[in-house]
Order: sequence, then C-alpha cells, then structure tokens
Amino acid sequence: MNINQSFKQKLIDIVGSDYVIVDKQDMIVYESDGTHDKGMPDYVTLPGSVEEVSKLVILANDYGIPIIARGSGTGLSGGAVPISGGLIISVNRMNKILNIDPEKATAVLEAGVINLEISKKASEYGLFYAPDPSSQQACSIGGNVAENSGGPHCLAYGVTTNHILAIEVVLPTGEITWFGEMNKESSGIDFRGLFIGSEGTFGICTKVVVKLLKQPEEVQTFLIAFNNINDAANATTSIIGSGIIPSAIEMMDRTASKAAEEGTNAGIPENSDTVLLIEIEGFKEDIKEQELLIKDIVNEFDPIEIKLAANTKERDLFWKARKGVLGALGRIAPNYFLVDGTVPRTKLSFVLSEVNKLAKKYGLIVANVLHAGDGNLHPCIIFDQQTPGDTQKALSLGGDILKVCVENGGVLSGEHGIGYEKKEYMPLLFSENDINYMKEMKNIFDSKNNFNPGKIFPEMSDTIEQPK
Amino acid sequence: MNNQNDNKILSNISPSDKSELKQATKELYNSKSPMSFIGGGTKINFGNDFTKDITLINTSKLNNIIDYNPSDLVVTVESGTQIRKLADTLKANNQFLGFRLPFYDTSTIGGSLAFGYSGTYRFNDIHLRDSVIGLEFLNHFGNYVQSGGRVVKNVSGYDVHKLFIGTYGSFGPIYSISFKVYPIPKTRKKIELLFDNMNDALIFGKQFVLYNWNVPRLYVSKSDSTSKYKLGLDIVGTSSVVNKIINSINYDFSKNILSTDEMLSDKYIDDFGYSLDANEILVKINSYKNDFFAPIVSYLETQKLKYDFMINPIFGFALLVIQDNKDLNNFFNNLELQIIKNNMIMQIEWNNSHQHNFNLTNDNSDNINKILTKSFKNTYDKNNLFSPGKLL
Amino acid sequence: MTIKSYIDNVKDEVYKCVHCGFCLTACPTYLVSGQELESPRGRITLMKATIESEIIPDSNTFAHWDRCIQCRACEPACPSGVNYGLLIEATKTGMNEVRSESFIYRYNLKIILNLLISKWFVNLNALIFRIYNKLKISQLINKVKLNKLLPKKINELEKMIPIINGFPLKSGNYPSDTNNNFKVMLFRGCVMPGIHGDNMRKTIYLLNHLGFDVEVLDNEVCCGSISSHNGDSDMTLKLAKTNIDNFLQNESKYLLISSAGCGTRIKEYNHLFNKNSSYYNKALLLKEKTMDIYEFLYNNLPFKPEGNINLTVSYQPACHLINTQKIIDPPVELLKMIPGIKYVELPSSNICCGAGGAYSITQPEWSKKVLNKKMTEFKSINADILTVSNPGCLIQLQNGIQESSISSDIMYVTDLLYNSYLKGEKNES
Repeated sequence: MNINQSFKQKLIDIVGSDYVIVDKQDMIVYESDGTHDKGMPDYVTLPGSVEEVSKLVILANDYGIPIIARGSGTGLSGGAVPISGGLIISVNRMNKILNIDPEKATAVLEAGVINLEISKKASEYGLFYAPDPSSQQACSIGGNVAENSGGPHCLAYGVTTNHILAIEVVLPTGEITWFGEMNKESSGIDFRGLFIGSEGTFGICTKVVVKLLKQPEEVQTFLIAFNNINDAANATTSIIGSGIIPSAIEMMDRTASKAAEEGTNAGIPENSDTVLLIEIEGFKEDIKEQELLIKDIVNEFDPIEIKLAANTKERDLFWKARKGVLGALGRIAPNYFLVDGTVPRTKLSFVLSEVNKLAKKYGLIVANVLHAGDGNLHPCIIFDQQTPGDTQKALSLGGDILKVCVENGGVLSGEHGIGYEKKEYMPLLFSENDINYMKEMKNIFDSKNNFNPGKIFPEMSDTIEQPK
Repeated sequence: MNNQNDNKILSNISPSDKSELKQATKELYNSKSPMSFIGGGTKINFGNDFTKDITLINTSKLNNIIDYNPSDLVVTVESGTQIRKLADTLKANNQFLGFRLPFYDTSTIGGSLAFGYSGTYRFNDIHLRDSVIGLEFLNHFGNYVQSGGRVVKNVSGYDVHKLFIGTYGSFGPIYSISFKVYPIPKTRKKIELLFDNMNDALIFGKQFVLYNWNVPRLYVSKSDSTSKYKLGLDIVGTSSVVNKIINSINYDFSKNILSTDEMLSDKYIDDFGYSLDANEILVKINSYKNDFFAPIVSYLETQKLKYDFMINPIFGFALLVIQDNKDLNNFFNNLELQIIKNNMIMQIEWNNSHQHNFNLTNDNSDNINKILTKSFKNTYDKNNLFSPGKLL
Repeated sequence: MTIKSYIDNVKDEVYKCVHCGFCLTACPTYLVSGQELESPRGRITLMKATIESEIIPDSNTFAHWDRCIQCRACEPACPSGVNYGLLIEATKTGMNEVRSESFIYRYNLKIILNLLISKWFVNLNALIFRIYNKLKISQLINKVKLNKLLPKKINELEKMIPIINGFPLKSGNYPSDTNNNFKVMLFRGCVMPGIHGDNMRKTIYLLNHLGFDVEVLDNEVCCGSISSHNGDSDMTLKLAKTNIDNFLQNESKYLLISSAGCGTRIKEYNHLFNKNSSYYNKALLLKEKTMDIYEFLYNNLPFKPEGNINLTVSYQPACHLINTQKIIDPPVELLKMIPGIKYVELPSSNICCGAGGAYSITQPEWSKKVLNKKMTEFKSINADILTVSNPGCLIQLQNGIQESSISSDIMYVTDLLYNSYLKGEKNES
C-alpha cells in the first residue's frame, strides 16, 4: 500500500504530527512484539484520548484500512503484529491512573497504564492488583485485557478477567461504549467478559476499572530442590489436594534451573534436578501453619533441600531467578520458541515425560518452566536460527507438544493467547462448529474484519472435526 | 410458578441424556417451536415475560457429575445437576464452589448459571462468571458447541461461555458446565451485631469490605425482635484467623450482640433462609453505592409495606422481599425517579415480569449494548426461539 | 566505513536481544514519549535492521539514537543480559564517523571535546561563571527584560549556566592527622573540580577526618566518557592509556571517584582494548583499585556520623552508579546513618534526570521533558533536601528546582555527611 497523502494528513489532523509515524525506516520498530512474527504496518499513531481513538477508527473505516491495537508490545503470540499491514493504534500515551478508590478497592485506569504501576500506586492504600504477568514491569493493562493475561500469582487469585469490573472500548464502528459495571451482578450479556481475551479483534480497550485486593499481612517463599521432575509434580498435586492454595507454585526443570542459577546465584543446589518455587500469603497465623504443612507434604517426596526466603531480598532473588529464566536460557542458544499449553494439574507429570520424549526424538533441548499450580506448562524449545532447518524443527516440536496437551484434556494456550503464532493449531482443540461460533461473534463486532485481521482463526478453510 | 401473562407453556420435555437433549432441541428448532429450559423451576419468572407460547425442556434428568478430580480443583457436571447434589459431592472432598447458591434444595446448576446470580455468600467475591471455565451447549442448528475447557487457565479462543451467564437461556440449552472449585475454609463463625439505624450498620460493615476472603457474607437487615438493625458477618478461615478478625471488631459485644454462632452444623444458609410464598415478590437491586439503599428502605417503611430486606455492602446489592401489593407499580416508578435523580443505580429486577436496567455510564452505552444484544440474538438464535422475549 | 560496519562489530550482542520489551519502562525517553522509537528495544531494532540491511540509517534514524541519554537503566531491566552500553557506544562511534565526513561537524566537535576536557578551559569557564553568578547577571537579564530579546536557544543555555561553588580544586597531597597510613587517590575529573570545588574539598576533609590520606594527581586526564559518548574513540583510547599508566604507578590503595560517569568509564577501560593487549590486563588491575566514593565510605567507615540534621532528605542516584556499577544501597544507607534525618524515597528514583553528560546541551528539548517529569515526582514528596551522587545530576536538578520554584536545597550526599560529621565533632567538644 502506498502512503496515501490525504490519509496521512487526516491522521495528523487527529493526533498531531508528533504522533504519526509513516517513515518505513522508523516503522520497523513496530514490526513485531515479543515473538518472532513480523509484519510491517502502513501507519503508526499514538492517540492521546479516547475521542482521538474513535476518530482514528472512523477514518480507517472510511479508507478500508485494518487496525491493530498495541500496548507495550510484550505479547507472546504475535497479537500486536500487523500481519497484513494497516494502522497501528498504540495506547502508550494514554497512561494515567485516573482514580483509586480505597473504600471500594477499585482503580480506574487508562489503557496504557503499566501493570506494575497499579500495584505501586495502590500500595499507598495497602492494596494491590493481583494478576502479575512475568512482563508486568512493562506490559499495559489494555494489553492484559486484550489477552486475558495470567501470571504466577493467578493460582490463588485468578486471571485478568476475574479482576476487571468494567472497560471502556472503542468498537470497530468508532462508537465509544462501556462494558460491565462496578458490580458483578448485572444481568444481560456480559460483553465485558466476551471482550476480555478477544485479542484486539473486537475493538480497542481505552479505559479499565479494576478490582484491588488487600495486601497480605505476610508472605513466605520456598525454594525446594527435588531429585526428579515427577517428585516435584506429585508434591504440587499433594499440596493442592491437601486444601492449601498457595499464591504461586512455579517449577523449573534441570535445564531451566541450571540456567537460572548461572544468571542469578539464587542458591539452587548443585545436585538439584527440578526446583519448585512456592509462595504463600495471608495472615501471620496462617502462614506459620501452612509453612509446617507444606514442609510435611514436601518431605514425603524426598527433597534435596527446602530453602525458606530469609527476607525480602532473598525472596526477590528467588523470583528473579524464575522471572528472568527465559532470558537466562539465551545463554544456551540464541533463539527459543515458548509453548504455552495448560493441562489438568494431575496430568502434569505424565505430560512432562511425553514432552521430554518428544524433545529427544527431535534432538532439541527443551527447558521446562511451569506455573505448576495451574497446570500451565511453558516448555521452552531452544534452538539457533542460524542452523539450517532448526527453526522448522522447533516449530513442529511445539505443535507436537500442544497435541499432547490437548490429548490429555488440556488447551492450546494458558495465558499468552492464540494470536498469529498458534492459530493453525486451533482445530486441535476446537471443532468446526466451535470455531464457527467464534467467527460469528467476531462478525457481530467487526463485520468488515478490520480489527486485527489474520489472528486467532486458522487460514485453512477445511478445519478437521475432532471427536469429542 | 405462575406465569402471569397470556403466553402458555405448551408442553414439558425431559430428555434423559445428551443425545436426547440434542434431538429435542433440534426437532423443536426445525419445527420453529419456541422453547425455554428449566431446571428446578425456581427462577422461571425472573427476567421479562416470554413473548411466545413455549415448550419447556426440563433438564432435571441430566444430573450426572461428569468428571471430578479433587486435586485438579475442577468439576464438570451436567446442567440439570441439583445444587445440593453438587455441593454434597464437593463437600465429601472438603471443597465447595466458593459461593452458595440460593434455592439449594430445588435449583439446578444450569438454571443458576442462566440466571447469573451467585447468592449472598461469596468467598472473596467469587461469582459464577469467575468460576465457569468451560461449557458445552447446543446452537440453533442443534449441534453441540464447546467453549473453554477443564483447565483453570485458558485463553484459547473467545470466552464464549460468558454469553450463557445471566442470559436466561436466550442462546440455547447448556449440556455441561466446568467449574473451578475451592477448599472449604476450616472454621466458620457467624456474628450479628445490633445498631440503632441502618446507616451506622452500613458504615460499620464497610471496614470488612476488604476482607473478601475471610468475610464471605456480610449483610444489613432488620432485626425481627427489636426495632434495631442488625449487621451480620460470616467469618471463615483457620480458627486463629477467625478469632483474630472477631477480636479486631471494635464493638461492645456485651451490650448489643445478638448472637455468635459457631456454624459447625451443616445448616445451609440461603439468602433469607426461606423460600418465597406465592404472594411474595423478590426484588434484587444492584448498586455499588451503598448509600442508595437507605432511601429505599425508608421509603418502604413510610409506605407501611410489609417487607424483609438484606443489603450486602460487599457486592453492592440489596434483596427485598415484599408482600404483593397493588401499589407496587407506583412504588417502582417512584424508585425509578430516585434512581435517575441520584444517578447511582445500575439495575433492578424482580420477578413477575419486571426488569429495569439503569445505566451507570450514559444512555449511549445503554443503547449500544441493546443493539449488540439484538445482533447476538439474531446471529445465534435466528428465529428467536430460545427463551423468546426474556432478554430483550 | 559505513555505520553498518560499526554496528556489525557488536552483532553478537545485538542478537542477544529477544525484544521482550522489559526495558521499555526503564527508559526515561520512552517514559516521556510512549514511543517505541525512543526506547532501548526500538534503538536495538534499528541496529538489527541496519545489520540486516533492512534500513539504511539516515538523519532521522540518527536522531533516535542521539536521543538515548546512555543512562543504561535498560541493562538491569534486561533478562537476557544485553550489554546495551556497548551497543549504543558502537553506534555512536559509527554515527560520528559518518558525520565527520562533514568537515565542519568534525572540526567543531573536536574543538568542543578538546575544550571540554582541558583543565584550563574548565577553570576559565568556572571563573567566568563565577563572575556571572557573583554579578547576578542572570537577574539583570531578567530585570531589563533582555531574556525576551535573546534568541530562545541562548536563553535556554543561559539558564543552564551552573552555580559555581568555591574555587577550583588543586592537585596535591591532603594528609590526615592520623598515622593510619591508609592512602587513597581522589579523581578530579573535568567538570567537578572547577564547578563544585567546595564539594571536592569537603570530600577530602571528610576523608581526612575519617583517617584517610588523600592525594589528587596532577597528571590525571579526563576519564574519556565525554569523547566516548560522542563517539570519538581515538581520543578515548589516548586518555584511557594515560590514566591507566598514571594511576597504576601511584602507591595509594584505592582510586576514589566522586563522579559516577567517570567511575563507570574507568571501571570499563578493559572494554576499549583487545584481550591480547597489555593494556587490557592493566585496565583490569585498575578496575580492582577503583572505587566510587560511596562504595568506599560504606565499606570502610571507621565510625558513624553523630551530628543531628533534622531534615527530610531524599536521594536521586546517578544512573552510572546504579545501572552499571550496581552501587545502589551505600549512599542511602550512609544517609540513614545521619542522626535526625527523615529519609523519603523519590518515586521512580531509578529513572534518569536527563542530565546525561552533555545530553542537556545536545538534546535540550528531551532533557527538559525528562527533567520535568522528575520535578513533578520530587514535588510530590515535599523533601527539604534532594541529595545526589554525581555532578551532572546536581547541575541538572539544580536547574530543575530553580525553574519550578521549589524551595528545597540540593547537595551531594558527601556534603550532608560532612555537615553531620562536623556537627558531631562540635557536640563532643
């Protein structure tokens, strides 16, 4: 598409010349998000208000130009990548925390507010915002809404949709509307719930009302080293089966924990195979009790070492090892392909052994990093783009792992979204009827398929019906 | 159950398994027969009236627990499963849904979902819409469609199942539902405190709004015996935490305490503890502004209407039980004026075919939502045969 | 040579970036603009695109790289451990080469750089500024409304003329009264001795008071950060070698540095040399000998300060202290030792104030945007004193405080320590 001068001028009229980017050399920075998928946009704008967003949408409609909403671009499914060109509407300038109401424990935010900033600000009132994606230092709440993001602490608190009361959105028609209420009891269609996790295909979210929670009185963090991955997986199941719901149970296998230890020196023992990071939160009285209970349960699984974080610094170090593990894997090989399947947590141990078998078959290294408490696996396939054929091998291994997840009652994505990256796998999980039902919903919101085209739905027209 | 307008219930079909449900739905849809779905029949009159004569598909024979592995904290059941049956199954493993649905003995889980009301007892503000992680339902072609799954964390495709929560069966029958479940807290205690006026009780109650996990139920209600108002608190957790919270209550227990009840017995708590009589009407008012409830209650007092009420400041809603009364329409018209004047209410609904939605934000949003709702109906129920009229 | 060849040299480091975006919110220019182009990830993407010949960098591309303050706050935020400093330095060197094809640019830059690092020039400037301050010319300009007549650029520059405190610091020996025989060198650098001579003297007296002998070398030269920030690698190399030789010859136990930018440069001299070069090992030796003043004080404090200072104090760390030298706690812990002080944390204190060496002069508009954000945050905490650990920060923030008419004082952490120790002595006697 050639730059249409009149379109460009109209963009400038709406948001100002400082916030319109059309130079191809500049737009290259908007080609990708956190994934390896790429697509060159035709125009990039950074509107400053919902009214400007609405005007941009109407303008793009007039010219038949697709729209891709973008937050911080930290997504891991290619959701913000303009696969077939179009206009990027980046909400990063709309980043004000408009209101925090400590009495009702709610916050009203613009879509570009950074996830971590909410908890920082809310901490003044002893409150926090629970969903904490690993990218929380950079990701925007608008992006969280689009992807229905998770995070380690979602085990106890639930994912993004459980914490969003209402959203202001600009629909593909350019209309501005509110979905949801300050109260969960409203009847009628829960448009809020449908919009959250729709990956930018239903419109652009511009404001968000979130629920805040009271900060726990006390936090305790365990770092537990096991001899093998089965013991760690079974310990996880036993802890949850006992009636304790820790705020997080994270797992790293041998490859992952070795890399994490090299990067951080968190104190993972030399002879350790699999590591669990368990965090419990709550009243002081409960923490002591749960601490003993967890130790008792874990001791049944022959742990190498049980470490308790002595202070905040050590806890931060444990978490740094976990949250930075993907970067640390870069020390093994320059590229990785991150799988995001979820299985019932009682199937974890079996699925992990299948994953390792597959890795052997393909001759690739897979480092397993898991939100074990939720059954959310992140097998990380490590490869080098420069080695011919490895990229393709890694991608097909990823597909095979997802097949194993689905065969075991799991799903394609726990928290990253389908986006561009996983859309061809949709028929593994969903029948033609299921997919058509979703397509019809897309059609209700966006009959012209102008919003984030080329995402979620598989390209191939003849989807295979799966037996249920 | 009395359906007060002119539309009739033509017949009542009770499919006994998944394929019979499919067959019945398909046949009715193909023959253009309007239909709705009924479980225990406790809430059939909520929402608007049916606008057509309907055939009822009764799900009560679809009452199997399909899949339950306690360590997964997930349960999948057929939609006609009675709440009591589900609760008992979970309880045997020390688990529960996180909330306690009303009409415990008669209601089904599918009906509760279609109604979208989670009751007044909610662990950490957990609502049905947060708990449902997967659904299987029939579309207007009579084909099964699956949404979500049986894992607690899932962003594969749209959250289609949200469409079935609180929409009165307007998008077809549900066959199965998967829920997240939670461990039952070890200790439960109930306290009722007396106050001279309602406002004091509400203000006092506010300090517990942030204790969502540990105070799953909090209500202000009229005391039966005195002219005072009572603030009821259910407190759960380990015994030390329950005691800690009770000790933190800055209140002269010796003077005004109504009761402390160690709820060790298995007595089930329903919204009011009783089912409605034929001449009683249940009104549910949603508002996040608790100061709105006071004028309603004082209005009821001045009207000398016999009533019972419960205000839940955590979730921001009030439930009223009112003796059926000829002036009722007047009353609600008045209420409507109040609402508009104060611009603070969101929704009022009561049985016997009344539903009012008032908007938090602006008329524009309301309008767009209506248009979208229509598009949804046209898309997913082409001939308007699923619970016709209930939603719009 | 093209700019591509310079970036190609650091190709491996460029490809360590997996564009996760964790760095975005650590970057001051991203925070004030919301623009990916003004973020570390954006700048690296532009480098990657250059390597892959997807773009041919033009003046527009250069502008995005130029806007980098080089605070390196993106480095601790990066889970992949990308050494961003290395990348931006290579890019700036390349840009400088391309630009130097323009004779005027090269000529001007050389002269300016040479002037900036020559002692007599700094001292002369300090003298001029001192006279300027003394005569209150600034007020005069305002009074006769000359500021309305002066071109905007000159007006902005006029506002940036630093407040001079004290005469320039002289080189030489400053022994303590004790026989500890614990001798340290104190690095003067280019900016600080001329402009903040008083502070440097206070630092020396403080060290003496604590029992350390101090020597300020006459034969030290600029650390080289000004030239390397501006991409003049020849000059940087020359300066580094001189310093390495001179400092290693001295018998003092440590080389102390009170300017964080210089500290980073000197601690990273090894980056400049090939691993086989003899200077590479010498640079590592010097690195072991080099300590930031706060790092040194915190680890070698013989006794605590005793003089009461009943004020609310906050602290803006120098980027090069926290991001590259990873000296985070010592200045704060030292402040907290002072009796009577109420320490309040500055929100987003890990974000740069926009000083960035010559950044405030080369990118006045962006420097201002970043500073304004910082001032809004500082206002919100109502502190009596803002302390800093680097001369660049002090000049920039002093400017900010004046511009936004805040009544708070600004000083070095060492100034406050000096005051407390001095008061403490008085109480004893």
